Amino acid sequence: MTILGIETSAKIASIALLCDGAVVGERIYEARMTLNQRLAPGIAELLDEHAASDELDAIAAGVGPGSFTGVRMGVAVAKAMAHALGLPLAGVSAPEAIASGLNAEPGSAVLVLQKARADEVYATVLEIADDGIADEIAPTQVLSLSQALLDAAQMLDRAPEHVTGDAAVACRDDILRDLPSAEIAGADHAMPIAQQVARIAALRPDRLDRAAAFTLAPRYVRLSQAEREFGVDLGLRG
Amino acid sequence: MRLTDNSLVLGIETSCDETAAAVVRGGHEIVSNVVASQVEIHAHFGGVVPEVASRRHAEQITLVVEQAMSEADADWGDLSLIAVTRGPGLVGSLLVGVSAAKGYSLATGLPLVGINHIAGHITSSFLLSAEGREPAPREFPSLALVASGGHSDLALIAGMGRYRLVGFTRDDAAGEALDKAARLLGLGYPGGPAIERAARDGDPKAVDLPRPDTKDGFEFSFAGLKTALVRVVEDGVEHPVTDLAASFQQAVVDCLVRETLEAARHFNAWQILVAGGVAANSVLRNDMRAAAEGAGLSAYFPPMSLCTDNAAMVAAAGHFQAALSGADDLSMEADSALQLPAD
Ligand SMILES: [Zn+2]
Repeated sequence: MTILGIETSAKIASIALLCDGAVVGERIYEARMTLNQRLAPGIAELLDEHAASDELDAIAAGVGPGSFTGVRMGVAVAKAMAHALGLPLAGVSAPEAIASGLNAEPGSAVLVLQKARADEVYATVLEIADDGIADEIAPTQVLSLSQALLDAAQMLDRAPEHVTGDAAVACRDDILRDLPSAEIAGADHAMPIAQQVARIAALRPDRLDRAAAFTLAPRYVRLSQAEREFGVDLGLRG
Repeated sequence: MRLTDNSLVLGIETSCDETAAAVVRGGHEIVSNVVASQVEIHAHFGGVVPEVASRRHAEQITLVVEQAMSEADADWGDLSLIAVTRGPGLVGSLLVGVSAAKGYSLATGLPLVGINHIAGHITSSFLLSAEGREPAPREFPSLALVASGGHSDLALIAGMGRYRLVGFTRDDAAGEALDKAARLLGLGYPGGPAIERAARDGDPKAVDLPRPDTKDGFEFSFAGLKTALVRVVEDGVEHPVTDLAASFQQAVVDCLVRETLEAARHFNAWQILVAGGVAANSVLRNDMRAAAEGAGLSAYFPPMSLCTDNAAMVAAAGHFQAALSGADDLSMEADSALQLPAD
């Protein structure tokens, strides 16, 4: 099975081609400003190099939360490709991709903390399944750091074994003060990457869906500022 | 690249608050034209909210393209080209359409061309509409006025796909001025139609408002006009809202007609083409027609469905641009401040 993974929600974007479980090609984009110019040519190169354009079986796209514009670019490319090629598509959240990349022991709990606005974080609690993939056990929330740590411990009835995400790396000391037993992942495991996005789709084929070419939406978690100011909820949270 | 009278082009447009896709044959015949409007959504906020528009585009884009393809009864293999608006517009909105267009191009191998939204509006005059209206004759040079919430541009058209910017606004766009006036007068959103409705029962000569003239080429300036309206309202002299709306609308129309006619005469244009959302305004239609006639010219207005943002105009503009200067590659950039070439 050949799967194209696209992850554009984080500061560093990436694409990867996964053939029967092995990564055969990858591109990493460190500069967000030039992502639009480089993303589609990169995908074309990957498919060309591995003669996979007509062998592609599925597409997996990172849906965030993260950069609103970034995630929309990746999701729009993925939906259009899946539409034109008639391929199944899976959306993978950033916390799932980040936590699944830890290769943590099954049964352990992961708290993913991603930077949101100001002093807030996107907080997601996940549990590692037997296949090593992290399943979300509660929806992502926008919280203060201390509230996120408190909520996670309460939900799990224990401290999460792992804490990761860019906000976890940045606030390492604060987290260790509240959760001294937690293992805080290094910066290289704190961001979602396309390899993981594709791997999750490969290991969880039930998540692949042809209708997703039309229905997949970014996961913003937060209402737009205008909706908050005007007290309107348009249901565009994803 | 070679395109014929039978070539089918898929157009995609997401520069502002309409998610649109269309299939056009030969650069002039509309085969399908789908617009998912967000007007009602943005009415909540009294104006277009960029982040909300982008979110809606991301949800709608493939649905709209699918509808355009199925209404055209077209398969990917029937197409010759994909055209997408790459600017000007809201950058987040543009990037959804451009990204999707690239995805479609990648997946199908079809060539891709990035279109200037203003060139699209200009091209709408040459489309054979679904209503069966005859398009404007291909007589050149033609002079085009594109007036909308985002733009007030004058362009000289030397031939299909050959446009040159000869006039623009120094500050507000015509539609933007109408929107601001509507908000000031409490008439609601979108402002253009609201002002027009209120103005129907008003006297356009009741309130004395300026007709700002920059004297500098064919440039518009509407900011002073808006300031003048604010002053009239704040002065406390009781004017009926209908008179204020009618007088303001007339002042905007007078400026648009004056500069357009001056430019048309200066460049010896054969005809005047008016496009963009403000082209739906009936006072502008009447006054521009009368002024053009007085100058021995004809003024052409596309049908209403083609005045506002749509993707048929983008597909048609793509047809002529690709025929003239070829396709773009997958690294094509979105440019929120894109302008027509000035020479
Ligand atoms: Zn427009």
